[in-house]
Amino acid sequence: MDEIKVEKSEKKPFEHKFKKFNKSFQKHKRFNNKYRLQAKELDDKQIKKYQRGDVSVHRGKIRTSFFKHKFLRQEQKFNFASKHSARAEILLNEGEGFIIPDEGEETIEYTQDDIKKNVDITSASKSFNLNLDFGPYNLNYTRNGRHLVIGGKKGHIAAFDWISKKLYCEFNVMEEVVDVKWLHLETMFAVAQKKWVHFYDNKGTEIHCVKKMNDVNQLEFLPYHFLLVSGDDKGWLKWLDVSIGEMVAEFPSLDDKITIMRQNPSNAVTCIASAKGVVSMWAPANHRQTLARILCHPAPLTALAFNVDGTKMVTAGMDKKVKLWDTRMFQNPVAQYHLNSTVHNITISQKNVMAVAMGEVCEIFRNINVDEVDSYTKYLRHIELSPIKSLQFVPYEDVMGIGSKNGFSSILVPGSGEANFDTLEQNPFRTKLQRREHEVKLLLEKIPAELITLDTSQIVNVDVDRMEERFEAKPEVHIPITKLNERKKARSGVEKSKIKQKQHAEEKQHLLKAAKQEELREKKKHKKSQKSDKEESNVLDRFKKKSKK
Amino acid sequence: MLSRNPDDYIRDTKTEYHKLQRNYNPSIHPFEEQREYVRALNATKMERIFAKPFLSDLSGHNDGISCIAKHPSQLSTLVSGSYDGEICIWNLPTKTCTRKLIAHDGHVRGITFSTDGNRFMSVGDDKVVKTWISNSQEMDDDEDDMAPINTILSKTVLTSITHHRRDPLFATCGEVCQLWEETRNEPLKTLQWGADTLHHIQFNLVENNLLAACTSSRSIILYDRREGKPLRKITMTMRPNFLSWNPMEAFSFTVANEDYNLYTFDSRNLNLPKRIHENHVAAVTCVDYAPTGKEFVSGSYDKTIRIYEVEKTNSREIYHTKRQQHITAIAWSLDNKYIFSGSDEMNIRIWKAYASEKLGPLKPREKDAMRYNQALKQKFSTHPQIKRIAKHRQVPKYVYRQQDLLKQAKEKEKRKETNRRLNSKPGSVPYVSQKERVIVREDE
Repeated sequence: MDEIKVEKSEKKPFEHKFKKFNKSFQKHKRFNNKYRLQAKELDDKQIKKYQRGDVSVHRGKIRTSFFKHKFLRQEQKFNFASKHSARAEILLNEGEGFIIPDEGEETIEYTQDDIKKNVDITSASKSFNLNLDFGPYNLNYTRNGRHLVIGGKKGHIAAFDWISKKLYCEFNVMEEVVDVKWLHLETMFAVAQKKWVHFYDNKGTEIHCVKKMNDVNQLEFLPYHFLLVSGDDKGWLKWLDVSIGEMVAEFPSLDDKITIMRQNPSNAVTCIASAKGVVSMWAPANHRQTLARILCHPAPLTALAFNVDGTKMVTAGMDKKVKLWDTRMFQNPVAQYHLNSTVHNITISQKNVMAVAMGEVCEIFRNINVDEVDSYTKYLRHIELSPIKSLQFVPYEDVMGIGSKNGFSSILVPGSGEANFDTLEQNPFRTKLQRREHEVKLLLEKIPAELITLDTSQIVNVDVDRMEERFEAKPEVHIPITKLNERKKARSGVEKSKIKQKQHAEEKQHLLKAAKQEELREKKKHKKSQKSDKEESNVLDRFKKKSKK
Repeated sequence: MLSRNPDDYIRDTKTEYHKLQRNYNPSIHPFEEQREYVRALNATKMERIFAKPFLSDLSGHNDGISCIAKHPSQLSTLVSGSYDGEICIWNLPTKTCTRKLIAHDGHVRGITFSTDGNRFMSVGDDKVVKTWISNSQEMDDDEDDMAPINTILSKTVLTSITHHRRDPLFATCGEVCQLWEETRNEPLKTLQWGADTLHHIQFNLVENNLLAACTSSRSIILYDRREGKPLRKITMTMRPNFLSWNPMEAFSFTVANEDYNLYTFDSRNLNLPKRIHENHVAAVTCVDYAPTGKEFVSGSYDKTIRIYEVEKTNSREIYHTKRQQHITAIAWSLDNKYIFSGSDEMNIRIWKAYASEKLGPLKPREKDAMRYNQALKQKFSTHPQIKRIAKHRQVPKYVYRQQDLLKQAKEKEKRKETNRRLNSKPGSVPYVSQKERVIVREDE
């Protein structure tokens, strides 16, 4: 092996090789005139990426032409939007690319040194090691992938800009550090220490100590909801709203101890992997009940991870198996892999590259065919000097951070990060002013905790249950009674009177029904008003005897 | 391997805008719907926070306002008449009265502008039609300017006046409906149907030979300028006070009625009103359409102004102030931005037509943001929380109480009818819709 090629995001095209490996790559080459013309012709697959569900309405069922037209226009608008967003792809700056092995070689043979030799200087500088003595280390990157905080078990905490290697703060809390997490911005992070959860700013000043969160094992931060979730030694789940400092919900989960807890980034549901082999999903406003429970492995679970768009879940258990699940259908795993040893940590990158840690070894898998979920193959292998404690892919970078007993190392994984960021969402290059503006926007758009559900689009769907309930509650008045079709044949007087009687009875029943419903409604109203009267508190209530709860 | 050149992402100088990089891939925009919902909620709240519709008032009259007329081409000019026979010409940007004319003995009953807007005519209780020059620039405090350029003595009482949209022609009403040409002192034509007294008349703005008038015997009469006889008459249960043609739809007009409601009619099918507009708690005295023809504003004896969408039963907006008395005249400005209301306590008030609209020039980004917010509000308008905030209006106590009373009365009526139906021979108490009840009869 003399030389390996690492695809560059820049302008020089490796045309034939791209064709071989990643057809979808072609559209990113905006600088190549040949491809620019091609990009204008969109195929359905490209457009489908930007569609939000099925837009076509079955118009045959709509009765009036007005609504038919309305839905047609809506459909056209949706199609227009998705088509144009797909077309806007030619404006994207960067392209992505995996390592292309030479003939007769495989990517898994390449070490970090090989990769480092073959990439540009700036990329090479992103691969580095920190030998630290306070391990094993936990780590966390900010959502824009620019800042890193690491926390060693023996109390060492350091926060820095890992690209420019600028240190923000470094200190020792003289206490066991269990987990570290950035809050919504790089100005603050939370540290789960031996007893409580502490908040520090990026100068290292302790700004808060949350004593309500004690003996915490795992921390998760839900950035759009401003919720810090903790799972503790006694199996309690706690959601803390960090924007107002209020505990949103706290209740015991079904497990005695929470050791593995992850969030689904697409719907903010907190998932716990238990020793019973079960993954349970929790939301703060769901009356202490699980949203779902899935028996994943017949052995204790050791790792759990979600991909960025929340469609895939990966679990690993003591049975040395790794299972891939589709989060929309939990009956059976989509794929399962048998590995040689127990997996202790899994993480998935923005481009669905999966990294798996087994002791000192970290194996990285990639999805060759994007459409087929179970087409994971071995991509790279990295071996640390000591057991790996934590893993995380850097958002918007082709880099992965590894926290181990001996310190921290940053390795290059070409093709793992999302190449094109959206400035309005996350910007690695933002200035202080932009960061401040971003913070204000984030706060204004804080999603209430009650909206955490499995299906985030529930809010734009029709609430069928409640609608039916409302329709039933409506009294049936003002429905003119249709007359029975009278036959032209002459009837006898008895028959006629019978028909009349029948009509009269029907009408009376109808009206009685209406009146009864009216009465019921009145009663309900009355009850409601009575209730509200009762509930009104009096100043003198405090002298009453309090009922024991 | 990703390796970004910072120069592609960071602006070069501080005077530039920050570089904006977009990627519309849905997977890097999570919680799309929920964030949109929160944004819509914020936009709705913001709308209510910025809803300050009252702009200013024009004071200068010494008695209650009886009528208001809009200039057909100048947005800055407004003319108003009062109960003491005075007419004021207002300059709206400076909010000053540029000229005050002592026009009539008794009330000024109606004012209308000529087609070019250089002249306006007024009628009063003194049976006189006076023509004035409206252009205030030419005025040098001469006594000549304070005098009408033409005076026509009418034989009958005059209660209202309206000008043809194109031709030099105007119509007055009183005991009879009369058509006049501007240059002649005798009416061209006199139209009459029975012995009704007419109190309001208006030319159609699109089908401009049509006229509609309200009579004191609870009816609305349609005239055609080219015909010798009135066209059609409908009689309602209560008296129509005022009427306004839709400027964009030739066939529809709205009537302000004494029974607290407004009725929109289709002139091709007069036996049923197209829509009943409720919510006022006293007689509705005046109504005027927006130039878009999609909305209209009404003033009422309950001292409030309400804005309705043509297709909706309930009002979208209510305007009131503490000192505002019974509304007697109302106008929607021709740039679709302002509403002018004249009331009994001698003031003309200027309101925004859209309560939370930002006035003045907008930057393109501001415009975009507003459009985006508008779309969001529309998208989530049926959500209970958003609906509640968007719908909520503070109303004066007496209006609030009166609404409750009216609701009770309505329910009582309904209950009574059900009982009557229950205890009488089937079919003898027919189901009659509210719309059918309003129209007594239609004559041709």
